[in-house]
Amino acid sequence: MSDAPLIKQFLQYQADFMSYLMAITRNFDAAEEIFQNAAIVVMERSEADEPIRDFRAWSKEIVRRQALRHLRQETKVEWAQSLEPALMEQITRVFLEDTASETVAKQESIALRHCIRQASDENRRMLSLRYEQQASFAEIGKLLGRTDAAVQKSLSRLRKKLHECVRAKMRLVEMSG
Amino acid sequence: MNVDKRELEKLILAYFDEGLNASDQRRLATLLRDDLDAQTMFHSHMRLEGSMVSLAQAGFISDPELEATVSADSSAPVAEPRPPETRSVTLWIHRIVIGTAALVAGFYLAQIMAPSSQLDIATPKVGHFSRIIAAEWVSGAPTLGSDVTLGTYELKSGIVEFEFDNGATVILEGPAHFEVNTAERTFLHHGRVRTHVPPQAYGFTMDTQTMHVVDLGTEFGMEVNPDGAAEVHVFDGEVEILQRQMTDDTPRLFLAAGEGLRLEHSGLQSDIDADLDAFVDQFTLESRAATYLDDLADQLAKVQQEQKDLTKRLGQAESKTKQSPELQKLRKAANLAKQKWSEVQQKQIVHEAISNREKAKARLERLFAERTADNGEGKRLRQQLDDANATWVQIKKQVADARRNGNRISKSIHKDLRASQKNRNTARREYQRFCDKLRNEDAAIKEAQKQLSVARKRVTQLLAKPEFATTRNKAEKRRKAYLAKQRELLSRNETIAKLRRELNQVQRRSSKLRQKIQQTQQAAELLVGYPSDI
Repeated sequence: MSDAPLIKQFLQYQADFMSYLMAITRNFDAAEEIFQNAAIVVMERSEADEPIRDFRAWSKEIVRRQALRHLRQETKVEWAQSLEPALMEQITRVFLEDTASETVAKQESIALRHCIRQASDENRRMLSLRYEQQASFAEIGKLLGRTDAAVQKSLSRLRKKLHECVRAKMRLVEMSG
Repeated sequence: MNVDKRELEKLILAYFDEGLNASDQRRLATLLRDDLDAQTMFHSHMRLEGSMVSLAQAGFISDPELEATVSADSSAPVAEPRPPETRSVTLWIHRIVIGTAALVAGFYLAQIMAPSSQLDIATPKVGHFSRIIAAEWVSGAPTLGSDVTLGTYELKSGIVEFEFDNGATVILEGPAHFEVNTAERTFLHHGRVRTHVPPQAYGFTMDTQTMHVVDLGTEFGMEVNPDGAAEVHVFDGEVEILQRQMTDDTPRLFLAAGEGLRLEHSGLQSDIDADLDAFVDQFTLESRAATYLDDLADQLAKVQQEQKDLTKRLGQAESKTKQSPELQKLRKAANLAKQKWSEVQQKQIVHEAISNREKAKARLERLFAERTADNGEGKRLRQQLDDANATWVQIKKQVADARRNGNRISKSIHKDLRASQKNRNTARREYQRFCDKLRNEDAAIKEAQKQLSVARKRVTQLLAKPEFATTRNKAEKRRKAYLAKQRELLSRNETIAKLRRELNQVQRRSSKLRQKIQQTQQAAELLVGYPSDI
């Protein structure tokens, strides 16, 4: 068991938690907010409390609870996309039951970097607008002189390609042991 | 199954891109339930999204420069990142060390160059010290080669040679009190000298309380007792003696080689033979130096042994102190306090940031609520305007109909028409004013959204850098304070302090001895035969 402050351990799993939160909120701001709230809960945990046996599982549970709380609160707010409880349940299950090592996530991230490098300039620009600037399809369309439907379609195709690219690279990694 | 899989992928992609409606979401949930493969697929898309977001957050997608650094370490995906600064930091430290060394050297150089005796500050140089053997001074300690300036020189013991710039040399034996008044004129209060004056320094004069000895190109010895009685021994050439209590008819007195004179304080005068052996010559110098060097070497060996013992004892005492349970406890407490402090500090800052975020959010929600409420009011006003319009149109129609039918238009209808017109204008103004208000509200909402986004980013920044600058600086300060405290504790320990003092003294003694040895060796030109490393 590491002696590092809990919050530091927590931050190590940031990518893991954010992918779950992105999956259920479909909104970067909301995901970030939930992550922040969960971080506060972790920070506030007193050392006098019982020792934590499985930190990852423990913190996942905190993230899950914060996500649930957030979704309940946010349904009344305009920007929240509604999520069917059944799907929420399934995604959460995927999140909680995953025990893949952190190494896999890191390797995937590196693979993704390579895949993005291979993408065309236009595609990268689109990704940048979508993920870095958090622009809407319509805004991207305006900038690139396309309809938002076309942008949506391109992004979807790009996403699929990136996913395949990462999977292919990961298979290489697995084969090479 | 294959159809399901394709459908599954389509749903997943759509979910992550544009989102799914409620029934498609339920369908996706059904496909995921109890299907491990489906779950794995969803999870890998989920991770892709997460990676994408974190890459975007790092500015990777748009910045190719970042890309280069990232791809450079891809061969070791999970390796610890190498600190890129190490090299330059080391160089930097190196530079500082060298710089400091230069500075320190400069400082010592300045000290060496500085006048070594407080007697001779800002007085002109008339010569230098050419030999110093076993010299003990009453005050100050001229070093070999340092300047002879105008002033008083009091020697407790030992031998010192003054070499004047005009070529005259004076070998002074302690105890002695000697004064350099000008480059050509000196005063011997008491002590023994041997003076050599080359022809170019002709006229070099040495005064005593009772007489003036003017050298006419020679070598002579002189001894003055503390009571003032003086003897002059001429070894070579000629000197002229001028008595202080001299009357016009006192004859001038010249002494030649081999001759001598004794003059009591009372004025009683007697001739003596010059005694060459009574004064320092090269042989006496060398033998005195040799004895002295032996003595110094013994002393140095003793001091070195002492220094060794003290260093050992100091080391033992220090390690004992460091291991003392009390200090260890204190150290632990200080470390813990430091850690706690930085954690608390960090927490507080994050909390503040979160509370700012919540405030921004509350404000946004309030604006939204107002805006929603105002929507109702807007509808009401629109309705009112529509009604007013309708009424007006209706009355206008009545008037038109009446006109067409040639009927008389009643006064009351005219009044109604005017009223409805007025009513309609009022309603329009109200509605427009309200629309302006809504636009303002929309702008405020946009601004609040921006603020919320900034506040949120701030929290993330803080979380991502657990040791952000302010905390780190403060922690550093605290650590330094602790180290100072620790040093203080160590030095407060009496044994250690005492040993340190002793060691310092011994070290000073040792360095003084080395200096003396060096001077003596040079003075006696006995550089050979003594190990140079002592």
